[in-house]
Amino acid sequence: MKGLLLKEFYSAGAYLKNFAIMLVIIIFFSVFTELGTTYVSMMMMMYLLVISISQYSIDEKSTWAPFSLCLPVKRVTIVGARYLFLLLLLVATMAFTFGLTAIVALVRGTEGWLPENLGILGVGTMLFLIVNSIIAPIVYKLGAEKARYAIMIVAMIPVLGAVLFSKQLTALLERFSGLNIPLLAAVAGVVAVAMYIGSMFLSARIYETREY
Amino acid sequence: MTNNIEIKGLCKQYPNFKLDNVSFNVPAGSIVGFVGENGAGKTTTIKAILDVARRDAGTITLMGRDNITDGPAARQDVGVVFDEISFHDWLRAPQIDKILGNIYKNWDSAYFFQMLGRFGLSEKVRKGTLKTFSRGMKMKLSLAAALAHHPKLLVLDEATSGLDPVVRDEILDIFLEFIGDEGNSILFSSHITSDIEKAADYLVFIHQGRIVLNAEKDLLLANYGMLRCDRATWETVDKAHVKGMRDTGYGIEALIDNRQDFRPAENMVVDKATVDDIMLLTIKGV
Repeated sequence: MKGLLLKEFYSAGAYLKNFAIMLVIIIFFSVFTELGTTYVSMMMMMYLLVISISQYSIDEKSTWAPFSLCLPVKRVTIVGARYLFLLLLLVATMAFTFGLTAIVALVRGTEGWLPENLGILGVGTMLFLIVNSIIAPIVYKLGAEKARYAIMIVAMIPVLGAVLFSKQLTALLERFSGLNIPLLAAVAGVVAVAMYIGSMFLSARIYETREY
Repeated sequence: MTNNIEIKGLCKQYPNFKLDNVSFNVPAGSIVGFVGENGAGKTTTIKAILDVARRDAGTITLMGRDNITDGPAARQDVGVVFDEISFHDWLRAPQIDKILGNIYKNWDSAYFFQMLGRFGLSEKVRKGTLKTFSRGMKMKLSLAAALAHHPKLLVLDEATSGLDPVVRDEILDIFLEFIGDEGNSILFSSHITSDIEKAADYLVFIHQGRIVLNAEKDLLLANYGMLRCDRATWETVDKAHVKGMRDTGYGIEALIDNRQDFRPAENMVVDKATVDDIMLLTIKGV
C-alpha cells in the first residue's frame, strides 16, 4: 500500500509547477481585487477536483495500470490506495487552503471570513467526495479514455440542472433557510462519506474483473 | 526438472480472436523464446500468465502457485518488462526505487542502482525525469527494476523491440547471466528472431491462438532444414517430412524436419533453417 501511495504522490507532483503558477494568480486576485478570501477556497477546491480526475488519465497514458496488476499486490489494494490517496489529498488541500485563506484575510483585514470560508470548504469537500464517488467506478469500468465522455456528462448534470431549474432551486433553498443548517450540513456530509465508501467497494468489485 | 511456468489448456475468447488450448512450460534454468506473427496471441498469453487478462479455461501456475488465487504471493518472484516503460514520464529513478522498494519484499536498492550503473545510466542521468530518457535507456531502467527484487522468473513482452543491436546485445547478456542461477528462467516474446535464436533454450511458436511448435531450440535447428530445388525436382520429393513450402518464382523452398537424415538428390540444396524460416514456412504450410 505504501509503495502505491508513494506512486500517487509522485504522480501528483507533476502538477507542482502548474500549482505554483496558479497559486501566484490566486494570491494576486484574492489580495488585490474584490474577489477576496472566497476566491481562494473556490479555486483550490476546483483545482483539487481537476487533479483527482487527472490521476486516472495519467495512469492510462503511462500504461501503469496493466503494470500495476503484475505487482505483488491484490487488485483491491490498488483501488484502495487510489481512494486513500484522494482522501489524503483532500485533507492536505483543506489544511493548505485554510491557512492561505487566513493569511489573505489578515492581509486584507477581512472580518467574518471564517464561517463563510468554512462553508465553502465544507461544500467543496462534499462535492469532491460525491464527484469522485461517481467518476471512479466509471473509470475503473471503462478506462480513463472512454470514461471521458461519461465524466463530462457527470460534470454537466449539476451545471445544466442549475441553469434549467434555477427557479425551483431558489424556491427550495428558501424553504431550507428555516431549517437547522448545521444539521443539514452534517447529514449531507455523512451521505457524501457513505457514497465515497460505497464507491470504493463498487470500484474494487469492478476492478476485480478489469482486463487490459 | 521443475517448471517456473506451467500452462495447461489455456483458453481465452475475444470477439475476433481466441487462445485455443494453449499449453507449454517454462522450465527452471532456461530461456523460452515465445514467437509468432502480430496478433498470434503472444501478448494475450503473457497477459493471462500475469493475470492482467483473466483466462476463460485452463490452469496457469507460477513457481507451483496458481496465478490467480495465489497471484500476489507468486508475483513476488516475477519480474516483468513490457514493450513500453510503465512508469510516468516525470518520475525519476530514485522515486521508482522508493515505490517498488515498498512493494516488493526482496527489493534490493543497491542492486537496482548497481544495474543502472552497469547499463551506463550515470548518476546525473538517473536524477533526470524519464521524459529525458531515450527508448533504450527506458528499457534498461525497466529491466533493472524487473531484476532488483531478485525474481525467479522474468517475463518480457517485446522488451527488445525498437532497440539498436548494441543495446539488445547488452540486454541479452544480462538474460544469460540471470539464467546462470539454475532456479531462474525467462519467458521472452519477441519479433526479433535473431535475439531468440541467440538466447533461447526452447522455442514456443504460436499461430492464430494455437501452439504449433514447442521444442528445444538446438534440437529444432539441428533437425530442421531448408530444401531448395526447381519445380520438377519438387514433384519427386517425399512430402512426409515437409512442414511448409513456398514457390519463390525461381523454384521451391521447403521446410523439412529431418535435415540430418535427408539425402538430397541432384538439383537440390539443403541448408540449415533459421527461426525465421521455421516461423514463415510453418505458417504457410504445405
